[in-house]
This record gives sequence, structure tokens and C-alpha cells, in this order.
Amino acid sequence: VTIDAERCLGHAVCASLVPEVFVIPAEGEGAVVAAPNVDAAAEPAVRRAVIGCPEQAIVVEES
Amino acid sequence: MGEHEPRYDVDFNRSELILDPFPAYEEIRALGRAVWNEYLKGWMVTGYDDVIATHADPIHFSSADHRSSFFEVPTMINADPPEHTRLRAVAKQAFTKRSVVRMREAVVGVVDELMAADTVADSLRGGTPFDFAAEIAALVPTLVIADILGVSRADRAQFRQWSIDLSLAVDYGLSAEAEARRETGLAAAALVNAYFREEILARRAHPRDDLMTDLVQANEDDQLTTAELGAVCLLLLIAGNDTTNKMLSGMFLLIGQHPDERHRVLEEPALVDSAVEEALRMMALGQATPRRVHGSAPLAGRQFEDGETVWMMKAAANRDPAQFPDPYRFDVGRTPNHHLAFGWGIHLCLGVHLARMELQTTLARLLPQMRDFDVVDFKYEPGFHVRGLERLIVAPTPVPAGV
Repeated sequence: VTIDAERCLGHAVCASLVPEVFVIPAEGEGAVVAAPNVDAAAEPAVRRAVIGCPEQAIVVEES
Repeated sequence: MGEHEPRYDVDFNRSELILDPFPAYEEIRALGRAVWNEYLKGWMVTGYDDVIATHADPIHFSSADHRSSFFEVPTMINADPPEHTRLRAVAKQAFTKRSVVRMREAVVGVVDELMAADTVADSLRGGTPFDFAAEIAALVPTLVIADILGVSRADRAQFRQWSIDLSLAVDYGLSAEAEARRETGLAAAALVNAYFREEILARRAHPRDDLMTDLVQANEDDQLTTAELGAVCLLLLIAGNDTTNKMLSGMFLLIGQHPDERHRVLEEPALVDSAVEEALRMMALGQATPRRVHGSAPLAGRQFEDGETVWMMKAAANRDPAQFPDPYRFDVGRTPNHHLAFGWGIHLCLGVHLARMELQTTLARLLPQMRDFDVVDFKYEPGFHVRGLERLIVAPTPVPAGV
């Protein structure tokens, strides 16, 4: 999973839903991915973050 | 199950419900996950997860059929993807976290200016009552958005009057009074549309250091027409003004009514941010937001069909006990607090960073001056959809003699 930094505005919807995958650094503009490889347990929450992202900035690549 | 069952017919514009809609919400919640209301001609959804599920599917639960008559062209709030994406893309440049940090100075300036005004300054010193709603809450967002957009000082008073006319008319209500307010609002909207179109044309020729210029420059490949850019400015005025105004008063009402929680914030200023979030959760100004069903989709335990209306009861969802333990308690330290006051998903309030910053700045600067203030009187404005106070009389603790 990656974040399109051009689109992200730092609303932190993703970080509130899946803090183990997405974090909002104190410095900087938006969210960053802490753990790009999502395991099965976290998948439903990540999918919810993908839908919930106001800027549609989360990109998922299936492996 | 009958066609419109379960059912709870309630006119939320009745004054006793504007004063306190929450007992009705709890009765609706007890009846089921989707409850018909003849007055709203739609299904009310009160559960936190169900409101999120509605937000999460903008294709089946569409915003496009509820266009406000204020706008001569579509805006992002009344559009679905891909149109929504195009309309939002230009405006969002102005609302990044970094842009909002730059706006903080304007907000601090406005709040300090209002605190120094005679009426307020005298009250803060002497403890005489003043109307927080009129002297602070109504003015902060208008002056801030005027400063940020780049409205000149000469146009400030006119701009302020338009804001008042517009905010009075933002109401989905069906009453004769709502109809009259809408007329006033429409007249103001036409003038504001014309004003912004002219200002934007002027910025195209002579760029300045303001948001209108930023919008023109963000739109350099002409994704949006001048009329659409003007509509963005009007939307920012409407969406950022009445809401922030009522939220400021609502927050100070809650802080005023809960002395123990107020003391926590006074003693630990780091709690300002979570206190703001908790006030947003409790007030949830936009009580109910409609969506029109396109196609057929399951939600809240029933199958919705084309053309039906779903009302997301956000204030009720913000007190869903399954999501928020002890939901009726005002807890300035509540965490986590993923409330829905700004919506969720692609329509999440674009001004969320600015609104939070205005609320946090006003609370942080004003509360230490007001200290242990009393709420002397308050009155809700008629109109349910952006439920909020039109009057909030407070009496600050006087400064002790010799200070």
C-alpha cells in the first residue's frame, strides 16, 4: 500500500482507522506508510481507509 | 414488514426538538437501524457504522440530487465522482495543512481584535455579561474567511451582511418562515455570486497575495470556469461561516455548563485539542444529511431501492453507545474520538483543518480570559439542519482588584 503525496491533505482518516499502517508525522504535510505490506488481519481496515480517504490518495497493489 | 416500517414521524423543526433532539434520536435508535420519517420523506439511519457505510458508497448513496438553489453551477458538495473530483481538486490546494498553518496568523489577529473590542474587553475586566454569539462567534469565521479570501476592508461590512442573509437561509425546512428566509438568502447569493465573479476576473489580471488568487492559479489549466470558481468562494463562505459560528457558541455553551471539564482545560491547556473534538462530537451541527439512492443497495439491514432517500443522522451516530462509551458524557479528554461532525469519506469537510484551527485558537486565547464564566442565558436559532445558538449570554469571572 502507498500514498499519493500529491493528493494527500493530511486529514488522518487512514491513521485513525489503521494506525499500525498509516501515520501522520508531526512535521510534514500528510500521511506516510509505516508498514507497506499489509497482512490479512489488517486488510479489511485498510480497505475501509482506501474508501474513506477524502482525497482518494491511498493506492493498493495486490500481490 | 410494511412498506414504511418501522416508522417515527417527527418534525425536527419544532422548537422543543431544536432545543433537545436527543430523546427523539434514542427512540428512533430503539426502533431499528433504518426508520421511516414522513416529515423527511426518507429513512433515518442512526448507527455509527451504518452512517459510515452510507458515506462509503457515494455511487449508490448520491449527493447529486440535493443541489442548493444558491449555486448557479454545480459545486463539490452536490456532485458525485468524477465530477466531484474535478470540482474539489482546485479548492483543495488552499486547504492543505501547510496552507492552514499560514492562516493561523489571520485567525489569531481576528480573535485578539474581537477580544479587545470595548464591549468584550469591559466584560472580561468587570465580569458584566456579554453575548458571546454576537460579539465573538458570529464574527470570527466571517472575518477570517474575508481576510483569507482577500475581501478588502472596504467591502467587509457588506460581506458580513451577505453572510448573515445566507446563513439564515441555509435550511431544508418546509415552513413558511424557512421559505421567507430562503428568499432573502437567494437574493444575497445572487449578489455574492456576481461579487466573486468580478473579484476573480480582477485577480486574473492582477494577482494578489490571497486565496482568490491561489484559486485562480490552481486553476491555470481552466478545469473550472469563472462561474464555477465563484461558486467555490460562495461555498467556502456558506460552509465555513454559519457552521464555525454555531460550533464556537456550542463549544462555549458546553464548556460553560460543565465546570469540572472547564477546570481540566484551564489547568491543562494541552487538552484544548481534544476538548474541541469532544464539542464537535456532542454538537454535530449538521444533524442530518440526505443521500438519494441510485440503483439498489443494502444498508442498515434493509434493501434500498432507486429514488429513496436516506438521512444520515450524524448527531445521533455521534452518541452511538456501540462506538462511544458513556456517549452523553462531555469528556474533554475523550480518546479515541472518531466523530462524524465533519462527515466521512470523499465529502469530508474540505475546511476541516481551518475549522479545527479556528475553534482551537478561540478556545485557547479566550478561555483563560473568561476563567470561571457563567452561562446566563442562551437561545437556539429556529432551524434544525445546522442546529445552533443565536444567543449565548455569558458572565466572565471579574479580574480580582489590584491585578
